[in-house]
Amino acid sequence: MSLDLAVAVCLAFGVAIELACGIGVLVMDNALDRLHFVGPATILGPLAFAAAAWLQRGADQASIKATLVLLLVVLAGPVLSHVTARAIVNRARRP
Amino acid sequence: MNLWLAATLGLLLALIPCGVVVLRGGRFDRLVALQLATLVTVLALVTLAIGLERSSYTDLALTLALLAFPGTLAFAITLERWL
Amino acid sequence: MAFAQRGRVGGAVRVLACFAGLYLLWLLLVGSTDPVELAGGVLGAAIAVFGWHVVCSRDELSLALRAQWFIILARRLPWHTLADCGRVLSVLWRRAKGEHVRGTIKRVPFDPGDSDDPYALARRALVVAGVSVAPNAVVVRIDGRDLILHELVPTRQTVADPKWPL
Repeated sequence: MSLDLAVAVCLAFGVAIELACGIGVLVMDNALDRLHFVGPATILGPLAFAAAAWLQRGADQASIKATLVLLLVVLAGPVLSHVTARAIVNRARRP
Repeated sequence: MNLWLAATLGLLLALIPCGVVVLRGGRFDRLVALQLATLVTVLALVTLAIGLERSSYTDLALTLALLAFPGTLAFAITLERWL
Repeated sequence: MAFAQRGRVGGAVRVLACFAGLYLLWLLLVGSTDPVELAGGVLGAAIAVFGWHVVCSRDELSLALRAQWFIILARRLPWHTLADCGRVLSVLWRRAKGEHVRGTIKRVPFDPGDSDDPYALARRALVVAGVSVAPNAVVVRIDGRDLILHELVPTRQTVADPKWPL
């Protein structure tokens, strides 16, 4: 029962983070400011979902596979943020 | 409906603001919104796979996550240099 | 001569480690010990390692890593990232109260090292990725002996270690 509660908390936290980041991307004024809201969605969201998967299913095939996918997302996130920020700034500097 | 499917529905809601920015924003705003939308879709596929007990959906999430990386790089470089 | 031999041994160990890592990844993803899957994993990992080796041997740009760098990153990144997530999400609250929040470009002192040194190249790549992990700051570029960042919420931290401005 308490395990189900912990899974629910993790899932709710993950969904709340993704929703908050979506709203952040919507309300900010320019692309560079919006880009900062992709960060928490890339790190905290996958972390929460991976934790929920491990709590509910333990080390089974589905949770290991899901964790690998989420790890890939977390590792790619900063590189994509940097490339996008660089593209935005360089494009703005171009005449 | 189990908890994982409810989480999938919650994640689908997070796609709405991304869609609004993609429809109304500038070039780079759209790229950022697309980045977030891809991430949310990967997470939704993972929660759907666990919720429906279908591991093939995780393969879809893996494929999307793998393709999104070079895809976003290509978009960013194209927007920076050629458009 | 001994140096060249040590280099060859090191290269072979790296190739074997890479093969083992990729094979383990394959096994984790397929989740089965079926002989066909095991053979497919050997073949897939061998092709990937061969491709990686060919690309590395033809490229003049080489990267070299030190284990202690990952200890530095593991010690600093988690708390820094969590704090930054809080900072970025607090902007939503400030926006809801009607406050106008805009990010700024900031210069941070950074020691880039020698331009051609494989260790300096790898450290620069790790710093750029490491700083960009924390969502409040994204690295735009390295400009001489400065790191150009875009910060959403200004922080007044001074950089204690210009080699690792995290």
